[in-house]
Amino acid sequence: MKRDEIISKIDDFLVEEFEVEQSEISETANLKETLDLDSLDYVDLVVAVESSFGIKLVAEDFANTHTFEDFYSLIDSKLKQ
Amino acid sequence: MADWKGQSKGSVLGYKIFIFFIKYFGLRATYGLLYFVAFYYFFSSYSTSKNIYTYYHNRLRFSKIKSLTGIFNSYVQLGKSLIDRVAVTVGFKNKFSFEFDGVQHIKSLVKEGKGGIIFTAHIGNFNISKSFFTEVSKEPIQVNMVVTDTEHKQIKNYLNSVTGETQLKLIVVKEDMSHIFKINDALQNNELLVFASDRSGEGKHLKADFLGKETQFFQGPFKLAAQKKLPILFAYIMREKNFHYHFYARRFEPSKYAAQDILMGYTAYLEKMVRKYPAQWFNFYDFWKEN
Repeated sequence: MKRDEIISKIDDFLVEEFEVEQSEISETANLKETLDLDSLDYVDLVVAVESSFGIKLVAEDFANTHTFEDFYSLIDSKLKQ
Repeated sequence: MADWKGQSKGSVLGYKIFIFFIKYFGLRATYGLLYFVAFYYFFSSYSTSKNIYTYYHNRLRFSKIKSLTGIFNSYVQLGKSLIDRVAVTVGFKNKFSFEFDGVQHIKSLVKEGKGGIIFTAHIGNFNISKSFFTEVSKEPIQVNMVVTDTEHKQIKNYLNSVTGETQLKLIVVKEDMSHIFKINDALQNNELLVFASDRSGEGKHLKADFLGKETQFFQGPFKLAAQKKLPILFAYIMREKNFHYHFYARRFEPSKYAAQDILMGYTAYLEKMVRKYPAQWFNFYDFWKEN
């Protein structure tokens, strides 16, 4: 899957699941702040990634994931593994 | 004092003294010690005592005298709950009797095999629930209690050394996000998740009337139940006289699976429990931001 397709797919489920406007999403924006995630919201994020891409995230994956760019890269690298 | 700060009172030495008394002098003698401890906290923890007084006087409409004695009773009841928690695991379980009210709801939840969320509160003594779950079903029921990492590590380590590891499988909410994956795994395995949901603090909240005044509750557990459309149970384990515990469980089926509706159902049933057992509700911070 090309990176553009990955980004588009991620943005689609973020807009739908987390009630965020597409215009609020940018590569440099902070993921947690933009999506207003609390500790349990991350469960939805993990479930959404699993069902959309068929990949399983682990706790360490979020250690260096701060921006949307980080998140896109994380999914991209997981898909290539 | 606004939100709950995430810490409970006590010291390792205090726990050691109580466990020594339980083992060598029995439960009644240990309860006797509590009256001195409650007396100490009554006078030394002004802000906590003031919050408890506000709860009794402003919210439950108790008289001033009854509210003052209520402070003392709350400290004693909290102590008894902690002592019982240890006692059931160090060989005193037979000293206690248990009564089940609504146990069929737990059984049907397990039979459905869809997992579910059990909403409880900081009331009574849910820490002894393993004793109830082992009586409910011959098959092991996988119950995961989601907790914030609140107890001082030293106390936790000491209690684990005395009582053995956790009585329920605990999922601790941590900065490293590891809890997310444990919760997700539990949901995928159709296990039961338990949340004591009567707290607020840093994070997102929902608001609801509770005991006649609006206050806030962490939204996470309610939102999780709503989004996943999980079966919902409200459950409380209340201490009664003569070493007797009463387990209450009630199935809740919201008309709309919305977080706010679930919270409304939760507060309505919790309010009944609090009014029935006022000294066993252990939120000693400024719950309604009145002080």
